[in-house]
Amino acid sequence: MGEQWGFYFDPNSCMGCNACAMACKNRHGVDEGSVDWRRVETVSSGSFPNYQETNVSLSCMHCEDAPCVNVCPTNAIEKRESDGIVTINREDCIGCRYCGWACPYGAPQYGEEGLMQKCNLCLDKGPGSGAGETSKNAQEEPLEPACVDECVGEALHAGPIGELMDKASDAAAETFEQNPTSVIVEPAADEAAAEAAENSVITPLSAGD
Amino acid sequence: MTAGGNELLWLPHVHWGVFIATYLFLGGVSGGAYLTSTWASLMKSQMDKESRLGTILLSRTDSPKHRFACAETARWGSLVSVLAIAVGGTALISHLGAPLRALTFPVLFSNFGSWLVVGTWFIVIFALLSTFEMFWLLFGTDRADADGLSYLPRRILGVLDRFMPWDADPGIRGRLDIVADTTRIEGRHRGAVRIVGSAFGVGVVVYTAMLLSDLASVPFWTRQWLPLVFLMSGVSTGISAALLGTVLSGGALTRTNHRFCLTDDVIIVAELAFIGGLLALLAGSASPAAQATYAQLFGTYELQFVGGVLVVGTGVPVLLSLTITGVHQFTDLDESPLGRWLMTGGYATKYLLVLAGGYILRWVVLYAAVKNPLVVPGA
Repeated sequence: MGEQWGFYFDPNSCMGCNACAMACKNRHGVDEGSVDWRRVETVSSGSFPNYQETNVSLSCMHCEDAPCVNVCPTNAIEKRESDGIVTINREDCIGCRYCGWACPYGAPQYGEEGLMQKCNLCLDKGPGSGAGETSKNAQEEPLEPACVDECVGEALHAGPIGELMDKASDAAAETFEQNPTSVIVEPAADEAAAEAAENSVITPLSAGD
Repeated sequence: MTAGGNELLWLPHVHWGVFIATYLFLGGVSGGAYLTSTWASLMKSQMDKESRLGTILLSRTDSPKHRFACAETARWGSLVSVLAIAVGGTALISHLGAPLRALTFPVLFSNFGSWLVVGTWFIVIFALLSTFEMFWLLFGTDRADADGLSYLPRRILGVLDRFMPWDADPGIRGRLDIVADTTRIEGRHRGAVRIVGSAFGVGVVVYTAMLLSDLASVPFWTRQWLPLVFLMSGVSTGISAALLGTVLSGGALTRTNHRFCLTDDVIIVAELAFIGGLLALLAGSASPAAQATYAQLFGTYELQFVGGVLVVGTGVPVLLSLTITGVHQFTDLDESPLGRWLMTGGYATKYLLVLAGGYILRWVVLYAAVKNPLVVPGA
């Protein structure tokens, strides 16, 4: 298998501006409305004076054992051997929305035509693009994902996991090893908060039960 | 929550709407009605035999009303199974983004690890077998002057034949009779077909729950209880749909209806026990999604779940059934026309309520489902 590609996300640098989500929409020509290949969610905790907000930029996590791939009746969703990116071949998609229920991250989205579309790590532009494209590892100048390109705080990065690990802190790298996704997430900068956290990756609760 | 813990992030999720609820319901009705038809056919086949099976089934009878009701139940069951799977299948296909593409399933559906693919083949094989069974029960030259409301499709075709521009002899109905006579299987082979059809019928009923419970991200759709709940509900609604036909045919006060109605009651009680198990699992779970589901069942969806499923769809039908049975057994109310009318109406009401409850159950199972939230560290 070729080297896995993925994202690196540092919530401490994310200001929640939604530039990543808008850039993604613009590049892929996704209509306004409920279709969001990437979204920014804000999680709040505590109360004054210890109130805290964390911004989380979410898209397809390109999981190692992707549940959407497992349930797709037509094998339209593929976890690519060449670069580990999960793609959708819309020529084979029947729009059953089973993958939408299976994905814990809400990555599969459905436009007005009813077929699935989602982040393809900018293998190409537009819904359903990327399936069958040359591996990111084999491309001379792979297209940088729009979300990474437009990220104001440089909270998002994309690339081969080996390269992304160079940016990761020891804590992030350590927990990534147990992470079934392809996204490296930095723990909170606040030391106390980081220690209190039971893990430092965004995970679906009770996934796999 | 205190700062520095793991916070939960609830994401919006896609909904499967009324089309899927309709399909889940009708899939259950179809499989259950076929089982009812097979059971009635088996009872009918044992009526004139001195066999242990006949004794167990209490089939022996000289009552022409019982014989008629049994035959009607077999026909209604097969007719309902075909209609339900046809309408349910249409509802299923209608919700798809690319319905025409899905019709190429023999080629396109290649992931046999997906319950959707397994279920599709269950549906197709079951639909084929149930259609043949219905065809053989309703058509044939010896049924030309047969009596019974379940022969309604024959009558409709007869009316159509009269308005057709071509020579109506033998007409569509006559031709179908000839085809039925030519293809009909009898004896042990017919029994084997029914057993295989019943196995696929159970498969269709249970698969609808397996499809949902394969998704680990929704605690409500637990594999521990949901297949059992759906199996009981499917068989119960199938019996109700088939026996509603028998009641309409005038068989309400026969032993056939009495026996199926009590069987239905036992199945409903089992269904309630399994729903109780499911609720206990949700209530005792530490999962926030399970707790949210439990809260919704007794909050936002209380009217549908408590009122529709637990009271109107299961509790009241059992009480109604037991009341009518008691009145029938211990009084002579059935000797007056009004009494017979009341009891017939009571049975019909019971079956209609069971069907309504079965549909609402599927609706609630879809709409009250909550996906597990994400855990965001250090928020």
